[in-house]
Amino acid sequence: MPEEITELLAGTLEMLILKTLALEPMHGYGITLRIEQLSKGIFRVNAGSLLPALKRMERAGRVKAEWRATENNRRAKYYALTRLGRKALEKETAQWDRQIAAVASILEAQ
Amino acid sequence: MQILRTFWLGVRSLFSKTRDDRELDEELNDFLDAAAADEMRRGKTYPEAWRAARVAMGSREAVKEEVRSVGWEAIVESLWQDLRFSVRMLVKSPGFSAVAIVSLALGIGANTAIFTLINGLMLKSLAVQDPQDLISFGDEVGGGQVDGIEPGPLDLFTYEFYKRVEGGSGPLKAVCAYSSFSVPVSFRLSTSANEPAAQGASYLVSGNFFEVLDAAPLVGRTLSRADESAPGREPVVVASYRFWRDNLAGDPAAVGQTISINGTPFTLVGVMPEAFRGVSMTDATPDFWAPLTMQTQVMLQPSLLGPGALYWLHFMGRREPNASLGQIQAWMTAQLQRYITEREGPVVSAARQREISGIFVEALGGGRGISNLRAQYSGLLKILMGAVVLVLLIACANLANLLLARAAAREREIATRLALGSGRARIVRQFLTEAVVLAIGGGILGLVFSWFGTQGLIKFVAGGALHSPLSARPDAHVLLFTLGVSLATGLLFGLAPALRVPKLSLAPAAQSNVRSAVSAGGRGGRKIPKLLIAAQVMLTLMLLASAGLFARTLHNLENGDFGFNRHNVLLVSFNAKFAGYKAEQLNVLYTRILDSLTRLPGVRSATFSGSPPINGGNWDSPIAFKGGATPKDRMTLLNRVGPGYFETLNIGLLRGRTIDANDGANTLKVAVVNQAFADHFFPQGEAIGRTFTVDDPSVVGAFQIAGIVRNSKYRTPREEAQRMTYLPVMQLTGDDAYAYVLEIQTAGEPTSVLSGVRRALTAINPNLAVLDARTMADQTDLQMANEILISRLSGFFSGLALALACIGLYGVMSYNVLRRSNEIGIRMTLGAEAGSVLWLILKECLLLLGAGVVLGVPATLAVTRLFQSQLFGLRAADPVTLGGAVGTISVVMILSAFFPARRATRVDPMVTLRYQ
Repeated sequence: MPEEITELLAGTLEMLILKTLALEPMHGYGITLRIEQLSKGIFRVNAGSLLPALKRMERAGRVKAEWRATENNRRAKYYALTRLGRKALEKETAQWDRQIAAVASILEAQ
Repeated sequence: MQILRTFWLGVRSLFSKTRDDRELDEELNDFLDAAAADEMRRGKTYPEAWRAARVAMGSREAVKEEVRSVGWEAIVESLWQDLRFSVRMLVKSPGFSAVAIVSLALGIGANTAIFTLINGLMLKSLAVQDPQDLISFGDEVGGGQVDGIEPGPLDLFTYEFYKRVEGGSGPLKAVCAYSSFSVPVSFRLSTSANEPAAQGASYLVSGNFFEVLDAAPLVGRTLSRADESAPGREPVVVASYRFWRDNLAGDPAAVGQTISINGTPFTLVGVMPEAFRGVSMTDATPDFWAPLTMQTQVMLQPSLLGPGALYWLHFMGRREPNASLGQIQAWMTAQLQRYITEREGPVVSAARQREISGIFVEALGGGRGISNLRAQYSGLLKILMGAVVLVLLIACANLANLLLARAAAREREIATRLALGSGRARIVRQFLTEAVVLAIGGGILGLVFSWFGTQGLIKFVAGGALHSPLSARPDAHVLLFTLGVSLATGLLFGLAPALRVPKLSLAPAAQSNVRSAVSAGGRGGRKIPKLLIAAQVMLTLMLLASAGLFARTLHNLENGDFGFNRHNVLLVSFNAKFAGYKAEQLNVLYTRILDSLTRLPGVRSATFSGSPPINGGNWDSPIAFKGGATPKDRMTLLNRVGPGYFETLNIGLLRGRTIDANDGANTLKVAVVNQAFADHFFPQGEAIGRTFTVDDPSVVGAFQIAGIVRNSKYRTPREEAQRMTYLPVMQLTGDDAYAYVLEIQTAGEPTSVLSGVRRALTAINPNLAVLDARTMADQTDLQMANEILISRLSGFFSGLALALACIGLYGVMSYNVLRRSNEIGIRMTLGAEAGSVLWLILKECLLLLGAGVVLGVPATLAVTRLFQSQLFGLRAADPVTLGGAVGTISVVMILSAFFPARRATRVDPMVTLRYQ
């Protein structure tokens, strides 16, 4: 049963988006798809969570958006990681690892 | 950096709303397309895929809203939306808005007016560099003192002492000195050599005055230490901006010109900037600042600069930043004690030494300068501030009730909005925005009201001083204050409807067809208005009682026995010194003046004196009796008077005789004293016939007491009986031979003889001008200026409060009747009579009145106790005044409730039961 990603903190979602974009720039649905694939179907991000998060990160300077032409003569909004975003990803990943280890050691305590 | 970026992006998006919206739509469409395509890849059919995609996304509008609310500008936009909506709603009900805004304007305007005065009198700093490093040594204003310094704080010093301490010591960098009073002078510009001299005012200051204050000139230079080299050596002056603008046309070339002051040519060396006002931000700015060494030329009096002279200078000092005041105070006190000890002579008794060790100097922050007006009015202004805050609270209560009534009428609208998904927070914000819009509108109108009100107040407070620095123009502080008060007020009364929102449920409002005996809005909705009305009654009671106390104080003062005739007496100021008369020529002049004055039609009698019969400041000196023990306290007030003084002023003679025309320069020197004097110095024996000398060195010779008169008031109407000695002007010499006031008793209206007096004086000598004229009643009013001001203002404010409370009660009662019209209709159908319906409504009003009074009486007693010192002739807990206030409120409130109640009895059951 895919779990709602909104049960996680908003910060976690942003971290996952940053990671996704670290591989290559993508448009909105592409990010959703990639997160679903990489989490083996556990996390499904809907538009109502993804798009606000993207806007937040855009405002914070961590991603930048640009409109690209697609086939069908349409255009799509692609998001790419900025340098600031890369740095943020490193920092948050490290923080996440520390937190996970801490939670684990508490749960394993006798 | 990040904040700037976020800010900039938000601002940019405020201006690109339509484009952003379009792009968002496009992005959402893409998302749906991609999602649908993906679903189809997983095997769904075209319609199924689309449905799945849309279901996954949920409400499109909701998503757009989520995205939009990420940026900070979303809040700004919704606030802007609230604002426009509020303004529209208020414009739609102009009557309500007008009443609300005017009530608020009265409350806020009153607060702004009082604050403008407080700002001008109490908060402004001197226009110098680093005013926080200035020290004022003592803060009493004015006067001069001979020896015999008593233990306690001293703030007047001699020139000799100044020279000792001018260099300061340690953290005290320097000390400057200035005359404790402004000296009236006559001046003539070099361009108007043939015109009569004009009158001006000058301070005498030390050479380092401007240096210590750290004030730079606008044109030319300021005084320097070199200007104080020796008495009479440097005739230079620095002029104030106003003098330069009014008399020299603001011409920079005027610097270097000669101005003849009291006949002596002075060179104008500089002009100060407009903002510089010397050491006082509130008292009248002088025309000139002259060096202390020019004292005899400026004051036309013997030198006050030598050893053994008068204590007449105030000091101001500059300290190192953050230096300790205590240290400086200790040093100055030690210096002063040593100086006084030395002055006493070679032998100082142990008792006197102990007294001297009790003399000290206070070192106070001098950044706000010296102010006569501040000392006089600061207590009063604080009381007034309290009063206007109460008025504002009462106005707020009215506004809260008004808004509550409106909110109740809009219940359906609110229910609809809640049903459509609006958060309650949003609706609360809407109410608060409306309230703040009203309050800001009230604030702006209040500024206008306050402008006019403050001008009137200043005219009163400055007492007709020609050039008061106080201004009604609001500066940044005042505007900020008004804005703050408006916002706070708006939020305060906006809370009333806002607090009801969480309790609103959707059910009753939507059921518009139900007729019930339950009044609309539920019982809970009536609690707040009731509380507010009771609070208004309480606050109004406090104001009314206070106003009553002040009014009665004024009444007591005015009707007290002043000891002299207050009516039909005209006081005329003149200055024979300016007209060029020498002391020896005066007695002849006086006789001529009295002759021609008594010949005028309408004049019953005339006389003259050194000071008016009642005067704020007065001459005093210790005296000594020949042969015989004198009590430790040898001080007496002094005045010099002409023949017929006591008859002209109707000061009753008790024993002996008064001063008459026979007491001249060549006859026995006599004096008249008052009852208090006789009782103090001769409680057992007879004062008449005893001879005394006056310590003040200007009074030469021994005087024999010839008569005893009744006590009068000499300084203020509140004083206890003071000892007074009257000396004949015509028997005094030197400076004391000059009289400055004419007292004229008239048959009719005192001012009617003024033109005649003017003509008579100029006929004797064209330079004898009438400098000022006022009636004795005016002069006594001047001594009661505080009481008059506070009585009028507190009366005005309490009247305002009463009006506001009445309007409030009337509104709430009317609204209650409206809401209960269903209930009333049913009761009347069931047989209730008009009388019982009337009682039903009035009962509520009486209950509120009672609650307000019960709370208000102890509150009033607590508050009035705080200003007991301002009252005269009655206690703060005076039951008559309190009872009167309670009675007034009760009557007025019952009347305001009466009309809506009567309307209730006219309710036609057929009408109310048919229509909702």
